[in-house]
Amino acid sequence: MRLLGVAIVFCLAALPAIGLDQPITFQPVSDQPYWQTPELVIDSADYDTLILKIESKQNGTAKLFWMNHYDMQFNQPKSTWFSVKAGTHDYYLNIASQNQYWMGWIKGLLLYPEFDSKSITINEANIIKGNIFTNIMSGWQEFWGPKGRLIIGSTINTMQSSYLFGRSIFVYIYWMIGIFSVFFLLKKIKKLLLQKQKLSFELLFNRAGKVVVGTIIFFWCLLELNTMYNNWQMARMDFPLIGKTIDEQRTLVNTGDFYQFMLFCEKYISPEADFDYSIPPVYNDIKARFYLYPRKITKEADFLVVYDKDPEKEQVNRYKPWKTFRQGAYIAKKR
Amino acid sequence: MLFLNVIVVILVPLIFGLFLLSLFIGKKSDIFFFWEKLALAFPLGLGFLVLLMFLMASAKIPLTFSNIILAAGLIILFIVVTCCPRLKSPYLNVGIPEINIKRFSLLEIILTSLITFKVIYVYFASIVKPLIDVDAFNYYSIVAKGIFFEKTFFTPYLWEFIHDKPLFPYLAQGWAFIGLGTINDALFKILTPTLFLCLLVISYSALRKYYPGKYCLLATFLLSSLPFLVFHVATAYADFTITFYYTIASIYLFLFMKEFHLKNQEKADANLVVALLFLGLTIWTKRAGIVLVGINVFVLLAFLAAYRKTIDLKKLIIPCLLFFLILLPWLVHGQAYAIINTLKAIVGIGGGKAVEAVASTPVVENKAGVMCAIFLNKLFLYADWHLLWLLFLTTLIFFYKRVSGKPLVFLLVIILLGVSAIFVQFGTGEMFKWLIDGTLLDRLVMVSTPLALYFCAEVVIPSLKDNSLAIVTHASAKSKKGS
Repeated sequence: MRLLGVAIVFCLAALPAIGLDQPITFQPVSDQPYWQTPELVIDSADYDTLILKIESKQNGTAKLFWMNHYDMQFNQPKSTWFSVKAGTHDYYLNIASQNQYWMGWIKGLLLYPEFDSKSITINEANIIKGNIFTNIMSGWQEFWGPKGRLIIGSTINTMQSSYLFGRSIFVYIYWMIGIFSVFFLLKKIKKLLLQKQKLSFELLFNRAGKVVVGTIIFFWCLLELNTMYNNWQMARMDFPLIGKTIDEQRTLVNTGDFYQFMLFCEKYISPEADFDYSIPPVYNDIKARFYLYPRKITKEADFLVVYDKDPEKEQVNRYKPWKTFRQGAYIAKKR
Repeated sequence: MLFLNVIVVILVPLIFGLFLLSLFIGKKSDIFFFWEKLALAFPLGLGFLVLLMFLMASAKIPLTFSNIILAAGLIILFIVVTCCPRLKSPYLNVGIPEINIKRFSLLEIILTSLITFKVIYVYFASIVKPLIDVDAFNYYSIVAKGIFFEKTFFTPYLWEFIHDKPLFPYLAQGWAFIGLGTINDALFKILTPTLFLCLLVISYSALRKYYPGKYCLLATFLLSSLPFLVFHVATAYADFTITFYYTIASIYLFLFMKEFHLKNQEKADANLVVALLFLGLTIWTKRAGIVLVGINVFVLLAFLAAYRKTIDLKKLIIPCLLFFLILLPWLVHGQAYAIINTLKAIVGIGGGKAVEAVASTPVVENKAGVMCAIFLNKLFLYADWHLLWLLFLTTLIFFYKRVSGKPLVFLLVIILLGVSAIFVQFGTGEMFKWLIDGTLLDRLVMVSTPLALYFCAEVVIPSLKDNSLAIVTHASAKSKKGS
């Protein structure tokens, strides 16, 4: 009976959403890996939650970007990140609670799946004023979302915590530690008073210290359970690497056909030779130095390794294409 | 075959380290637990293998597997022939202790299982995939690959990557490639998870000498759970390595102070030898080691000054000599300027490079405020350290009496100076821009985190049993070590 009562209250609480929802349409953008809405005029103060029904063929993550009348561009600060599961699922995004830049008039939305965009379909999209049900669902999905769980490029320098309603989970934990500590300390004091013990400041301070440390360790263990779940997710992502040769593993951990191209270069450039390169910066250029060693990188080398980046004019003058791996990826030799 | 090679990569430093420990602390070896000795032997052996490789390369001896094994073998032979017969209780004669799982409580079984899972995860995450960390490619592993091919690191091309960085990461990774006999950039990461295992064993042992097992296991479990530390173990960066060597050095330095305070001269001496050996190796791991070693030396001098009436300075000569001998090759080989450069960079009066960096540093009006905000945010609201820094603060507040007593106050000073040094570096040096872009702070803080946790354990555990100290004697701890 009580459960039924709770369910009725829950449904009633969710009613406003039915009345105020505003359907919107996401369409795939031709030749681009994302989905976008036509121009919108939505008051962010009235509509804070987006509900998406997405059909996906694979697990992954997606980013939702928006533009408002203050900033008519889709960019990283005005975005929110969430997990997408294989199959058809509803995704609740209480954007206002997750990002402070959900403000003013919302002029457009863009959904960018961080995997093959052709493998998803957005069946339905509604923007609503959130209610208790959508808030709980949004918080739940945000907590189990990618932020604080997935190892991303910069994680080598820092590790995000899990988030709930746009705040680090630690904020809630500190509150809970405070409340639990006070509660248990009061219980201890009551017990001491019942035992008619004399309460000195030193005794209370000592007891308080133990209670707070105990509470911290309890919540530490809960956090560690959360981390172990993350560890398991990361380990699962690495399972396909088990039993593979080192070359097969390197192929899998590199993007596209980069490592296959490195093997191609190893085959044609002798170990004693030097090489120059035209490879897009940040990652692959650095990796090429390692993979192709003992071939050393020098300017004015005998060979030029080109991978998805047009050589500079000077390099074009000095080298001519020699062995082609594919269009845009080839070895050039000194003229 | 590759599996056997992995075993060789681990076993050679372990055996080398066992004999070196036998040489350095042989007579006093019974003050260390069996597993503690193994956990000390591996990193010590690895460190001295690095020194040996450095000396061989300096003498133009090619760094091949057979040459390295021969050189290490000759040193072992020297130890066996000249030293072992004179030792009263040879280090190597200690038997493997019996492990009786039935004597474990449920809590201990759960904690041991959780620690074991974490260790398995760390090994898995390290060696399941090839190298993916960009800086490791760019700085360390390419030199290691070069050592494998060129059999030396004294080539102009490789020196471009080394510059003025200490040589431990290059040579340790180089040893891994040489031991494996191939360039396998997945398996060569086996060294860091083994160091992680050693860290857990040493941390547990250091506490277990004084306190009941379940509390020591709990502290070890908390140590094994630090997410950022665990993540770095599986990379080929140098940050975990420096954290490891510095933590071990600092723990044994504290144990020296503790035993000296308790008037156990023999134990104090042995702990000081271990502390200074690891402190010497810390300087080989990363440039930041210079500052950290400076802090520990400063605190040691402060301790000696505080106990000047009871201390026998003659007993410090050999440990100090060992410390300087470890530093000597690095200093002699033209790396002394690295110390000057590092110190200049810290105080912001560096050469051209540092000035360039300062020039590109964003202009911020309230620098101290920004630093505090980022510092607090990173320490308390990120997942790097779970609740460590809250626990540390709580410990300082609620157990202030114990914290301010000797010798714990010296350990506290080491931690506080370590954290303050980060502040000074970001505040006055070239590194402020790296605070803003978030690329360095967490890694620098990592160095002090295991020590902060150890400090909390040292403060809190004795206070758990009412107001009295729950110290159990070493003898009773040893009798229970089977469990």
